Amino acid sequence: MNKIKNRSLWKKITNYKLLYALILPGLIYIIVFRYIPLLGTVVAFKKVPTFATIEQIIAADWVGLYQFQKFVSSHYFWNILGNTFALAGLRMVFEFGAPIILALLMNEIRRVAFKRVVQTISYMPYFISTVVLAGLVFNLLSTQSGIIPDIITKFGGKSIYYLGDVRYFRTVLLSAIIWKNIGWGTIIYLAALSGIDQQLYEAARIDGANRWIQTLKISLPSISFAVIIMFLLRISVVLNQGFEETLLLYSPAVYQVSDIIDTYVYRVGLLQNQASFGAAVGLFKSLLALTLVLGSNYVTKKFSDHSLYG
Amino acid sequence: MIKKLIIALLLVSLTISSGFASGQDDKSSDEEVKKLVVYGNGGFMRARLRSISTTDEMKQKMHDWILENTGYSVEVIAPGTTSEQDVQKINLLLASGSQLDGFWGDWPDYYAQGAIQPLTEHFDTVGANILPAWPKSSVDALTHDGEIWGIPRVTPMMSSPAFFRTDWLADLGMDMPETIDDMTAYFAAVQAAKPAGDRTIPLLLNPKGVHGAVPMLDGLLGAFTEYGYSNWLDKDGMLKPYILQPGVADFVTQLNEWFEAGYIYPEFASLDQNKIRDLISSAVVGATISTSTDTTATDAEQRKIDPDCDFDLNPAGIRGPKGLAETATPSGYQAQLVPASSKYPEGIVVVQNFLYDNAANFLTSLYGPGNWEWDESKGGEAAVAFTGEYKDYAGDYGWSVSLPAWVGIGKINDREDQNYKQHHYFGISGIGRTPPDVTNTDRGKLPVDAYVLYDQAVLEEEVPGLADLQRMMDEEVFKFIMGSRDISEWDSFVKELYSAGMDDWIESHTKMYKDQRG
Amino acid sequence: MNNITMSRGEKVFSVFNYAFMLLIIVVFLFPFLSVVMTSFVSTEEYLTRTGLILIPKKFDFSAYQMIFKNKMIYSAYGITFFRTIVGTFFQISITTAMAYGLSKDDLPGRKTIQVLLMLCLVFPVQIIPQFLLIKNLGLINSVWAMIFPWMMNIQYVFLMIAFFKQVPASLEEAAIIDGCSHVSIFFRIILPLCLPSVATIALFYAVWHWNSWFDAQMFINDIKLYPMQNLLKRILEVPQLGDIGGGLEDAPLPSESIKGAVIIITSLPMLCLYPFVQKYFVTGFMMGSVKG
Repeated sequence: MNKIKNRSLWKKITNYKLLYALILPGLIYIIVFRYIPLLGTVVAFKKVPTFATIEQIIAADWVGLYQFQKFVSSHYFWNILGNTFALAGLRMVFEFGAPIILALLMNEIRRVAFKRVVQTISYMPYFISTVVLAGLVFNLLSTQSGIIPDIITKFGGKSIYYLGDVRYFRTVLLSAIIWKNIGWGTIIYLAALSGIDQQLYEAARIDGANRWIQTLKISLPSISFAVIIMFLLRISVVLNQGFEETLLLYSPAVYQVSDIIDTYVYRVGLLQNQASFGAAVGLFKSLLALTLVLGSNYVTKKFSDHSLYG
Repeated sequence: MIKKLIIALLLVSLTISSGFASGQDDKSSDEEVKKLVVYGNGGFMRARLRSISTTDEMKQKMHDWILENTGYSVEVIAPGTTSEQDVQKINLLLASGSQLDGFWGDWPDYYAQGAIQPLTEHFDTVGANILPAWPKSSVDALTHDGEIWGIPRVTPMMSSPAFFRTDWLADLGMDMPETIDDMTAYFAAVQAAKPAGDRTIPLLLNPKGVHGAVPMLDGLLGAFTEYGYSNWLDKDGMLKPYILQPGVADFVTQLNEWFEAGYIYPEFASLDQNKIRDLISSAVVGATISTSTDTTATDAEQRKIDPDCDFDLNPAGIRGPKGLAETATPSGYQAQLVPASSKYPEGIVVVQNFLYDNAANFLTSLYGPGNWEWDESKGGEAAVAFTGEYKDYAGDYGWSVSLPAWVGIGKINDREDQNYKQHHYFGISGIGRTPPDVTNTDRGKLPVDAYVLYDQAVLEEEVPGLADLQRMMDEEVFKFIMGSRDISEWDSFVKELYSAGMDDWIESHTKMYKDQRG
Repeated sequence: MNNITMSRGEKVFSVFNYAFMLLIIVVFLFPFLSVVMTSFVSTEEYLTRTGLILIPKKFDFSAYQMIFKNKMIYSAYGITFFRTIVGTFFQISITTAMAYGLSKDDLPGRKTIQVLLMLCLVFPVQIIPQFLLIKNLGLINSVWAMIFPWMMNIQYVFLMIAFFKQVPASLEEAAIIDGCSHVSIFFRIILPLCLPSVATIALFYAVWHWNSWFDAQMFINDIKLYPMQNLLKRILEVPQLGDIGGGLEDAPLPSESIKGAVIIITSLPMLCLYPFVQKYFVTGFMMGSVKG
């Protein structure tokens, strides 16, 4: 029995040998450039400076989970963890969701030239570097006749300095991120939407389905594969995102709502030249991300055909 | 289309492989020459590279000049855009065992881990010109266990004075402020008169400086506390951080009053240096407490906007209930360091010694040949005039950028419309105050524990809450100033500090302080 | 297209949609435009004006003159083009090949490889071991250090797998019956059919290469091999006047106008590239002919 199974497996493998040849370059790449450097993670269980040589790292004593304990017992651990998840959650809801809706709305535009103009304009901010984006945010919110305080005072409100206020900081940060990324985010969905057969829409129209029904029954299901994959991909990296934007926009006045794991590690790194602490926190985040991916992959696999693996 | 792409590709790869070829020529050159690799993060080259890059011929010329005079073939690695990038790259070079024979850094970071070697003997044998150029305190800051761990870079500085608009003071009929109350009166008058219209900012206060200075505290705290912005010895014999000094609450209360009254620029918590300089250049600011060069170096721009614009400080210093407001920044730990792995540790000392030897060497290393000349007619024997358009050389070998080196040159005859204030402030214009404003430590207080070394490795071990304490101090002080936390909660804030590990901090620092100060 | 009469609800929606798109244009265009326009103002105008600058009083090109004064900028552009073209070519080849192989559900070992890939997503590369690896491969100070370490973005592999899976299996089966090998199916059927998604991923890769600077900063010592982003980042982020004696340049320019000029110089080529990719999004290009 087993033998037969083995033989058919072997047959399959030889049958697919060209496919393996296609996979091979990528596989070599991830083993050499992604897995070999992962060996460096051992420093998370030692106590070495950033500039330690390999010999020094090997010679250093193992300290077990010392670095992890140090991080978890930090006075601000829960605050930082909460902020990290708050930012990640908000990004997953708004920054991830907005491009899908925008792409569907763009898809409804029937004038091709207009559609192209909107697409191009919405994706321009992606090329603004974070430094410049931060400058722009400061400018727009400036108490010295920034546009937004001006509008608010014109309508009788009382404007304040929003970036220095814990109530508004997250809104400002998230808006800036969405403004920069939303147009770029639509591209992948537009590519997926372009794959839909126009005859499906026509058939639906003949059946009397209105635009709303068409969107719900045709457009959305047709790009659901891309949405699910994008969701899984985003959730695997979302804990590593937002460092640069936060670093450039935050200030001690709003640490309470803005200090995330990455900014915390950055500040510790400036105080202390510790490679081990950074590596331990990085590993901690990776394990969190792994849990998130495994969980969401399980859920999506259960409710749809799409998943990252399996 | 594809054809064009291929042609473009070929062209590009040709240029690049020719680049390779020239690079390889360097490597195959004479093996007997002693080769040094130096990381150029001294600050000068970074600023220069913004607009100028060294041409190949100029690079060769300068390289040969150093080689002929010192016997070392020096390759300079260009710095990154920020000092954090530099630290990261230096760490990579050290960790990977790449050749590196010199870089700028804080020596205690590297010393404790055995990554650098002392230079004491080389100063005696091949570096006679270097140390005599420096005040004792600058050398003290690099001395530990009887060894000198690097080539000095900084002197004690008064880097965050309060500058006031003298023209506005005159218009308002006021004298140069002498006390905190005078400042309050001046801010009130500026706010009422609005000399620059709606954009008028009575006080631009910078809470984060450069090189570890904190202008907000360095410039003001001394007025309210006995020791200024410094760790201090309490009556119980323990060394405590600045925040626990009696009087800090008064300081915070005063800033909160200024903030509530609208004197302090409301966005002060999140300003970066470029933004600060733009604001000061706009001539709308009545007073600045920031890195001094933000005010002095923008002088020409200020006067373009408002020809009368003129900032000056009170040379006697500002006083408050507890005395002088400013705290000096002691000579820091920054220095040119030599990695333990360097094969020619004396090399960097030899080259620096050559640059320290005379003013011509020094200026050539900064500006390259042909961009400057002596001009005795303009200001005495040691005057320099800069000629022509400054070009072709980004200051790769401009390693001796430091105040003593500049003062050694004597009077710099600068372009009159630019840098007047800057050089006046640094005392190198020949018409500044003596001692120069920047080193006039009589204007403020000296930190109690200057030149005590707090070993980062020990702190990391004994004070696990170090980063938490730092965040708590930064965050809560801002909240008190901006009014989102009431000053009546100051005592509970102090309790929070202790719950975040302040006892560890005090114990560890006291131990190290007493070990070194007896 | 509009010959089919719309219901009232649809008309309302259509009006709303166009209005919304106009709002999008305003919200996206004006701040961007102000960044662009700020690059054309003189120091004096910048320092005396507040708020968004949409029309300069007088056009001033000194920010551009300042940037292009650095002769190195031209060769740096060459390096950027090299890494973008060569790097994207490698990336898209390896990505599509691997993704096609993994899009076959019954391929033995597929799941293991996909788990390996997924783990790469959550464990990012660390700079120190990466540097050691590149040094041991002899790539330090070489343009290839900007290409080999980034031959593939794992995210895009998963995306490509999903796109390839959308191609109806019946097409391939027919081709196999006709005697085509998997490689020729990949090149002759799959790639042409999936051109929009391949073009999209290629655009992502190209823009990534175009914007990258950190690897050059860390792996390359010779400033002549720096791509354009590294030079422009310097202009963007280094304060104008540094140490004493650092003020010998021409009069400094306002930081914001230089930033604007940098944005134009770096993003213009990529903005021009987009319409070519957009061409592939023409509705129904891909599978319309297949599924019908």
